[in-house]
Amino acid sequence: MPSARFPIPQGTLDMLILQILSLEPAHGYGIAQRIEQISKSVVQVNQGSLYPALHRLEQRGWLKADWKESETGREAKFYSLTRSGHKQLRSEKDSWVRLTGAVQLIFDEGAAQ
Amino acid sequence: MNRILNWFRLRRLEGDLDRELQYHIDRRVTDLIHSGLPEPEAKRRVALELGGATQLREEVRDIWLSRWLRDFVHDLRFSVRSILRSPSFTATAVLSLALGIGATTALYSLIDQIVLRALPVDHPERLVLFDWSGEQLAETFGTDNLMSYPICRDLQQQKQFFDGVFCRAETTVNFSTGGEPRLTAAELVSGTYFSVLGVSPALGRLLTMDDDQVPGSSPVVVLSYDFWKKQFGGAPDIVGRKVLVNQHPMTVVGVAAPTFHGIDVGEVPSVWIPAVMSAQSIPGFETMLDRRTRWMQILGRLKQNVSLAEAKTGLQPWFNAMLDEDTRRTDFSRFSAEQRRQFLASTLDLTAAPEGHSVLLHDLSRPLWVLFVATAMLLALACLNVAGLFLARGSARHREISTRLALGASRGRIGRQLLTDSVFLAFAGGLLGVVMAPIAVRALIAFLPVDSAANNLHAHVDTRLLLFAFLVSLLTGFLAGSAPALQAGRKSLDSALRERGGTPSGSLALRRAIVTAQIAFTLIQVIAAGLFVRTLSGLLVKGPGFDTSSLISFGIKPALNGYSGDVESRLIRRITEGLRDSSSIQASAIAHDQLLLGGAWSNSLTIQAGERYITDREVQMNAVSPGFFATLGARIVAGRDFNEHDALNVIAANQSLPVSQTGQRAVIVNVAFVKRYFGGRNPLGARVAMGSAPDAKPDSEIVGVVENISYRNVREQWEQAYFPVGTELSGSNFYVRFRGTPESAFRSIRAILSNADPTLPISYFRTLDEQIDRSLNTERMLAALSSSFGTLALLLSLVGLYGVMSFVVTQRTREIGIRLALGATRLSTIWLVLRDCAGDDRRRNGDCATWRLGVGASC
Repeated sequence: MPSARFPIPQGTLDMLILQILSLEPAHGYGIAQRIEQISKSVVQVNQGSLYPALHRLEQRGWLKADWKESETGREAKFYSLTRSGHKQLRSEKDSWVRLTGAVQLIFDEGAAQ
Repeated sequence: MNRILNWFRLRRLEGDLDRELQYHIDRRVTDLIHSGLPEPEAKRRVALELGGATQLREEVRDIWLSRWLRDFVHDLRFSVRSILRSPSFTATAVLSLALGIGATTALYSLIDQIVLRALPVDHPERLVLFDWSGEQLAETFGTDNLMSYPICRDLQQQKQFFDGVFCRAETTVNFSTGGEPRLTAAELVSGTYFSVLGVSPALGRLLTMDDDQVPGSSPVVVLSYDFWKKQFGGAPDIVGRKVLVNQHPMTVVGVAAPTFHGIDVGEVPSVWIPAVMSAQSIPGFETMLDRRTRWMQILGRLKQNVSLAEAKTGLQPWFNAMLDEDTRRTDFSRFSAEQRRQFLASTLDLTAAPEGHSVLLHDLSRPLWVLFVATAMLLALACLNVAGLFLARGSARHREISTRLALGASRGRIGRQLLTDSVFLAFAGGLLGVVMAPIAVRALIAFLPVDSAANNLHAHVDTRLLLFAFLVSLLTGFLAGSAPALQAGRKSLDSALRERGGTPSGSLALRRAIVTAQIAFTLIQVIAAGLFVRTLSGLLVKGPGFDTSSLISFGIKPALNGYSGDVESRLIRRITEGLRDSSSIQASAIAHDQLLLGGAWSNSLTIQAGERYITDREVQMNAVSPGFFATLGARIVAGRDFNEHDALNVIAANQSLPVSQTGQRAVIVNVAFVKRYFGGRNPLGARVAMGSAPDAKPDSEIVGVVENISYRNVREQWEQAYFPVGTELSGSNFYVRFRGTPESAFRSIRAILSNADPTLPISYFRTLDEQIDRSLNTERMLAALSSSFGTLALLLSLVGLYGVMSFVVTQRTREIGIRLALGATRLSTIWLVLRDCAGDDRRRNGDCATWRLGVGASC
């Protein structure tokens, strides 16, 4: 019986981070919470890999970061998408749609038999 | 790039990361407490979720800096520590590399200054040099790329291709500021010279077009900055001062910018004089406006949007028209139809000349590149040496490396460590090399053939040189380290751990290959050195064809002091008599042109011996006084020497030849001339005429044949013809055979000269031995440097071989011990090692290949 909560599949964390940030800037903790909320707690963020991922994306120039006051009144590091980050998100979404579509086709073929 | 920047702001980045993580932890703990967990439990959960703060930081740090950069810094620290632990190894490696890098850098410095360096003027890359390719039918004064002054004026009108065109010729003038005159290097230039080069004045003004209009009308000079400083102590009121150039009063109008040293690296002019003053600057030179007199180099500056090829094609119609026009000039009738045809087939060549025009560049670029290749080979040897040493050390570090591999280090990582070691060593060597380079450059400059070169060449280390040394060191480091690094990557961990003390045979094969390559390189160097030395010693043994010991030559230029005609002959006679009467002088004679200076007066001759024919190549000519051959010790093999009757009223080149009192014109030719133009026949009594024009009258009788002596240089043996020196074809180069020391001879010559005219400067004074040394400077440089490179190469490969053998012996210590214990004698053990050194069968083949490679490369 499958578990109710999934760890994020390898390689998709970057895409999810970009997607969340395309809505509005957020800090690391906020991003993790947002992913769990939106996916109704089905997708679980491994917090150990969240920060390396954020720094990697920042290093590549897809994200930029600013220290801003958070909702609790403390300073937090807020990430937001850069122009090239937006572009990256679009292309990753595209390939994701193509991949899931293809996987679906293979499943459909199996179901038809 | 970003990542390298990160290296410098690491502290701030880490602070930020800590704050960011702390924020996360605090929020998470608060949230968990809100959901009902007790505080200690919540904290434990958060720590678990984040999975160890240290590891997380490490991971993020890797992203910032990238792994290799971080590893590199660690490697470097490790390298420094491990290298400092073995000082003898380090010293050997660093010294090898320093020698290689230092030698290469020193030669590069010279090549850079002589061959590659552009002139310190505006946009040197757009400067072009004009050259006449084909037959110019002109009289020549000077060497390389010469054309007439009127052509320069024509080219100045080609404004659609050039921003400007200038011409220049170098000469020596008698320069005086009132006191004793001094022979000074001068450059005769067109009025456009400074403006086209884009040189600015340091003081006053430079020459302009206005100074270059009517011949003889612009008595002005510009001084070079160094000359102004040295000769006038940098006097601020120099502009407007009167000076004497060959007794002609001229006015100093300005001083050129300090960085500008003329356009020839080898010849640094002290004064610039307008070309229209050429008759005053070169006594007897009245043919400035003659199109059949070539004496200047012409250079131009291409327009911004015009390419070299476009300009060349574009100029051809004008050039052809000019050729055509020239043939209709009256003085053209003296040339034959064949000569006219050759003349009309000429083309105008343009070459890029960002380095200006330099005789030094012309003469030296090939020898310099040859030596550069030799130093590069030396550097390769040093590289191989260091590679060999590293391999030896690699086996010593075998256990360390195996342990690291066993602990999980990747092969690449170990290889990188070894590479870092060698790059670090190479930089240490490079640093030492750069320190040594200026000393080497100074030594090299001393070898250069031209005296004045020393004025303009320097031994500073500049940024270009540093960059070169840096790149060479980097390359060296990689080359030296790559073999051991690859070797480290190839070993299997399993076998590496199981072996004890020994190394796999692969390493030994590699080391032997390295030694073989080293010996090959060394052989090439040594054999090349041997060849250069043999060439030099061959030339020294051959000599110039006469005995140079106790022979002095000196020169005066009476024309520069205003002497001419009878007054000049009287002066020369007075000096000749003085020399004859001096007790320290055995014999003396005069020649029109200096021997062994690289140049010669050359022209074709028409020979009448039964039939009339023209020499198929130019004959070297000189005018000499009676007794010249006897003074030199050159034998007259047939006929007679000149006598006093021959030496009368010789009229200048190309004109008809002199008639002596008895109505007889005389000429002496050398053995090579007889061999080429007379076969075995007797040349005495045959007649010759100077020049090849149809109207040349062969009316000079060959009265003697002299053995071959060197004229331009010791290397060459050419056909020569000698005419008697007279008043017009005057000679002021004295050849003197003395008794006693050169110093005492010099003192008496000095006294004789100042007795004749105290204001007459001596233009040069040297023994013929010195003269030969100077004329063989390039050979000497090649021989001396290639021998020292050969010695260094031997030394380096000796070190390399020693390293390999000591390693092999260490490796076989156990085996040798067992052999000795089993009764092997000391002698047989030594034999065992020596045999290994000389090589087993496989190795012997390698050596043969080495020999063949070495010998092949030297042929």
